[in-house]
Amino acid sequence: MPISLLNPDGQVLTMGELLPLLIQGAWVTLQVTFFGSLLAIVVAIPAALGRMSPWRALSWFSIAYIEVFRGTSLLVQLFWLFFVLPLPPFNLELSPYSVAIVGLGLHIGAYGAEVMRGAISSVAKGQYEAATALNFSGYKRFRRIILPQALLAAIAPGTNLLIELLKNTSLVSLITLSDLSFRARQLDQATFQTLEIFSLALVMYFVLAQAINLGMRSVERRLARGRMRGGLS
Amino acid sequence: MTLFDWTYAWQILPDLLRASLNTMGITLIGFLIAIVLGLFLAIGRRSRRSWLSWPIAGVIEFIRSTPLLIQVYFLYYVLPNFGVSMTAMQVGIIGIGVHYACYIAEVYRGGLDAVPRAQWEAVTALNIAPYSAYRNIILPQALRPILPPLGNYLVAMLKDTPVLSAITVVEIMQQAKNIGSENFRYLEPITMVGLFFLALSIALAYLVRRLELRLELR
Amino acid sequence: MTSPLSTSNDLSRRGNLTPLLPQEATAMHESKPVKPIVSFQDVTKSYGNFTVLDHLNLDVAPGEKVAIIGPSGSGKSTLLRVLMTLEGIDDGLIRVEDDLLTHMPNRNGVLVPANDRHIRRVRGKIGMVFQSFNLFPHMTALQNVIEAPVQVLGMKRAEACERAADLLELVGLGSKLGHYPSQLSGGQQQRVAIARALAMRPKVMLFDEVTSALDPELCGEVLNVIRKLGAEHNLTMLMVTHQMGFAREFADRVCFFYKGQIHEQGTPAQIFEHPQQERTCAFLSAVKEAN
Repeated sequence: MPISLLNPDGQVLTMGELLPLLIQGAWVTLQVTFFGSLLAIVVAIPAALGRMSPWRALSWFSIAYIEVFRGTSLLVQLFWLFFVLPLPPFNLELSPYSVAIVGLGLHIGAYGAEVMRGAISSVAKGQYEAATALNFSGYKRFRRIILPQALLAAIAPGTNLLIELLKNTSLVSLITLSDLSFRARQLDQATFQTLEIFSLALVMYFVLAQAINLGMRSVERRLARGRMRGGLS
Repeated sequence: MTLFDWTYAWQILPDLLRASLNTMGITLIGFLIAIVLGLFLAIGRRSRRSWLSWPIAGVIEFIRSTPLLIQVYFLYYVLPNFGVSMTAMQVGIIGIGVHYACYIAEVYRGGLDAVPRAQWEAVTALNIAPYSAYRNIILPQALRPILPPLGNYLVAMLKDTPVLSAITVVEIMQQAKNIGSENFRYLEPITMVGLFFLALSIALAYLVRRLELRLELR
Repeated sequence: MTSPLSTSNDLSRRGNLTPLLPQEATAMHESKPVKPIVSFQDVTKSYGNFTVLDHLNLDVAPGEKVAIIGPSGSGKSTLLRVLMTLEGIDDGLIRVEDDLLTHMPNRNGVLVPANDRHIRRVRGKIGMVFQSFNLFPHMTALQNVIEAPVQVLGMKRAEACERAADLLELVGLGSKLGHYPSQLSGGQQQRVAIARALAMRPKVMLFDEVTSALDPELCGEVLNVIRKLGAEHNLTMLMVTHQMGFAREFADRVCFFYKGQIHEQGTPAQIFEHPQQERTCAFLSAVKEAN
């Protein structure tokens, strides 16, 4: 029983017709989620290492990055990038797409840095000693021995962050990027079929979130190959 | 042109502060809604009557997995169709309150699960009515370890209030945008809003950590 | 009561516990002086007020098998750990073959703390097996053994795999190349750890209580591998162990460690059958009681 008011044009869209339009928006949402998470990972690992570094300048810089991007609201960060950068004194104009990816990536990356810090700390000290005994250099030791184990530990909290990222993408609609939320709003303004449109949008986000859950669980299975007691090799 | 126009910043400060009262008011009332509603949701989810626990679990999971923005749009544009008329601020507070109630319900659930089974059994054996049981025996034990996570969600909620600007709630971010568009200069208002959130969230985070320490020392 | 090789007179004459020179300890076998492959000179290490190595002096001859025994907290493991550069020392010098481990001469010939490159160069001559195995859980047995040769020595992967297979065969695990550590028993994991250390072709092998974490019935397989290594290869071995029977039968020299110093040392026969110092006797009888 669709509760919709006919808009002045008398046009009512069925669920079947709404869906493809929303899917276009969902595709943008997926892209932003994907590239945003890539940036977040690329930023989180050095930030975590910087935070744990014995060099004071480096650790202070990392702490500043983490606290600023966690402590201010994501929307503030997006608006800052979108409204402030194009004007003097920065004069840097980024497309809404770039602003979305950079803003989301840096924001979630700050939380990711804390997750990675916990994950790296959770790797047993004996692993460091074994690597030293085998004469690994610090870099090789981190890349081949510590990081793979840390990544596995980071998957559980990382999945939550990824879903947070997905939900946060809805805010890019407020800087005019045509993601799922933007399309939903657009359609609503055109047809006033508010109940169907937003219900559909909510369901689509829910489905995407579950897809992320399933995807991460299979990544975890692959990374944890052979680690489970009596598991398959 | 200087990097940061201090006179301009000083000029717009009163407007921003006034709007910040809105922000803090929304956060406080929304938080109250969240901690009360969250408790009921948690108890319902743990209920042994599956006709109650399953739907509630579904609702909690659904609201937690979907964006606050869409939920707020939903309430703002759909409710009038059902004859409910509320101001944007009221809708915003309810929207953010219900959203966080679902996160907080899970925190309560963890706290309630952590109360030793023996306590529940003692309550049954002594034939204490459910309301008194929760109020005097179960909740005091469940609540202490979950106060820090609750504090964290208070901070998170504060930082989520700008989302409500999308349904025209005039909180501090919306005010900053208005000021910026009037004066064609966004750097100062938005940076000041950022500093506002940063200062509040660091202060609240510090208080939460102090609270944690106090609880552990007992 | 005192044999020609009596240690007690030497020790009391020297006052402090400077150790036997290698030729004294192995006089039965050789008569010409041998240059030590590992040398601790006046090494001291403290944790705050607690001195864990106290002006330690120790020379180990090439191919010598030294067992280090003593009560817990006496610094035995620390001795191995500073040699493996897992921890630093506060004073003294450590030599491996001709190189200083922890220091290096700068341009003017003055000794300064060694830089990373120098330490890694010297450290490569030493291998270590740990009490808790410390295998890499995300790699199979074969991958564990080839990882260091490929990444550190730059060996070609195919060659490393061949060597690794041989080494794992040597320790009796030729059929478990593709198994992950979680699929292996403690004894098997420790044997993989030994193969992994051997893959780097060390001159000196350190064994830090390698059977202490194993169930009794699994100790034997590990000790057998060590025996085999000792018999077939001319490796220098330093072992911290509680396995007195094994030390007695396998070691060339036994050092009894107490409060950061070598309290007494000699051949297994000397230490186990005719201990001279009071503390040594106390320790050995306590151990006998426990068994």
